[in-house]
Amino acid sequence: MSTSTIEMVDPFSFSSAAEVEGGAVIGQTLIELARERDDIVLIAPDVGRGPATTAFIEAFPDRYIDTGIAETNSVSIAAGLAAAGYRPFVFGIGAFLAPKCMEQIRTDIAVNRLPVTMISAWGGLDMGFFGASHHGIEDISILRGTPHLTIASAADDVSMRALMRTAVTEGLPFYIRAPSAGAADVYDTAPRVARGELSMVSQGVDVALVGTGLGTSLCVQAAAVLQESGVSATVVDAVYLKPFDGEAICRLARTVRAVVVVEEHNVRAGLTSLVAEALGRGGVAVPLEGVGLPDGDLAVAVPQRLLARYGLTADAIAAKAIAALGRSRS
Amino acid sequence: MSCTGGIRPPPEFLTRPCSIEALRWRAEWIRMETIRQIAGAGLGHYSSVFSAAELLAVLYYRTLRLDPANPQWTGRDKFLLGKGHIGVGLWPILADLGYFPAAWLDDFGQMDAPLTDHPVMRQVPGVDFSSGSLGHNLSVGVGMCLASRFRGGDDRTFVLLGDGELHEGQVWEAAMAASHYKLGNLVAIVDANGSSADGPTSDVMNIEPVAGRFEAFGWRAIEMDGHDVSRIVEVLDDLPDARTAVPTVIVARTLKGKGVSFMEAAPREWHLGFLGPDDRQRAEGEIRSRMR
Repeated sequence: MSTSTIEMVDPFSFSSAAEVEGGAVIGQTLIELARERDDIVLIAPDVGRGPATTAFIEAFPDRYIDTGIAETNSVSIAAGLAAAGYRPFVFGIGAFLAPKCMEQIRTDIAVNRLPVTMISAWGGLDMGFFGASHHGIEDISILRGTPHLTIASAADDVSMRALMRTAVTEGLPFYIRAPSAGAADVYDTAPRVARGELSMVSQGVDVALVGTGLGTSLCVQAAAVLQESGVSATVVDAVYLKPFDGEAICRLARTVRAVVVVEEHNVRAGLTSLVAEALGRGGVAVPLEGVGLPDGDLAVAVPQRLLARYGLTADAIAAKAIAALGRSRS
Repeated sequence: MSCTGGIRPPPEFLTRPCSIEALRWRAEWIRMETIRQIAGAGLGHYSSVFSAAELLAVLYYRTLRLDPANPQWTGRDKFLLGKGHIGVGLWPILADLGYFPAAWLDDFGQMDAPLTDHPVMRQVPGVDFSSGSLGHNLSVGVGMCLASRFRGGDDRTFVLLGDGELHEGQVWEAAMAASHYKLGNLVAIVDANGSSADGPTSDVMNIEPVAGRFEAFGWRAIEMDGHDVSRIVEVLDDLPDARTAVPTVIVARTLKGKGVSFMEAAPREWHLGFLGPDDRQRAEGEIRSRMR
């Protein structure tokens, strides 16, 4: 096969170089934090030298620990640093961080209530081209039963920066899903939410679209599609998955005729499940649809093709919303 | 220093750092206090404490740089109990040194009591890190040593590992990182009592040569008899300066159940258990005979 007859596939399949280079906000925020305080440390298992964190490493070479390809070691080392007074960040690949290190996250960090921030990078389907081993789509379900752990998901860079700063300010065990490489901007300014709160992005009257991470920007786009059909949608960003504000979900659900949840996660064990649980506990009867990834074998391809396959597009979400409204009683 | 449990040391044993004779007495006292606490709880780990009793005595009554009045003092030496199931052997020491009231020992293992089978750092002053899941604490120690390096400190972190714990892969990730980052402030002590749950440790999964394996990972390795108090003192007194570059592992050859004949004869049966009145009397009689 000649390279002249085939064009190399961009594994991330996004259009501009800037999008592929996404994640620089993480390094920039670490630099800001390290300039403000002398206890910031970055730990990365052989993934620190990419665009997300290189700037920090160049600015603070002495505050960077590369553990090599040893994820569990990186999490436990972070726990030791935190117990000794530092505020470490662990930067890891989303497909491996929670699945491989769940026990270190629980036993060393969460149970001991240590101020470690774990950043899941290239999670969801960002690395979908590389196969099932690289799909990072179970982390919410793996971690949500862990006491003392805060789980957050950033819709965009503005939100990511705010979450990283909150994690340091709060000084608690934090797990943050970094924004998806393909996520569009949602916020001009940081969402004003306290730990555990939902962020109201836009208000409507017919249907509530509840997203997290990439799901939030897709909800914003789906709301625009629905608007063209005369359907008014509320868009809510589930910035925090744990603590999760189920009461706010119930209050919201009582104002609309259907709820659609959008997540780049196994749809049987993530945000859709959290919302369903909240509605059940609150006794709110409303049609609920989940748009996410099936609890089964996923196809392997570049992210945009996978997202289209599984209905994580504005048009498919809008269609789900119309269908859910069709099931409502009024 | 006070003394708990109704067994009083001779007055000359109350000064820290202790003499060799006093340290030998302390090791036996740790065994007695372990039996006493487990009698109250109804269940506990005996034989793994007994293999480490001399190591714990020398560390806490001679080697570790501590300020019990200020448990979070940054410059203290840290001690991590990788083999966390011997928390019951640590509790009398921490109480005796003044980290918490000796009355806590009476409630060891009771629901809602602070002193548990495995140590919990948020519950008990003097516990530098929680443990229970084998294989984590050497990595945690690497993190603590890196923190000390960042600060320019000269404190050490000691991690007491079981030899069965060496089966855990994460131990070797940590060993690799410790030499890579030149952590001469990290001291691993392997309580090589030769016993895992399923049988002799190296029959279950061979770990030998322990010292050679650590040396291959860039560590300085020392073998010693883990019950020979003079030798333990010699080795720990002779540790290189914490600011040097090579981590140290001390392979302490020990006997599981050391000091109680019927436990030495059946160490795995007494890994976790409860002494009935007759057995308790026999065990305490043997230990007490060495405390005179």
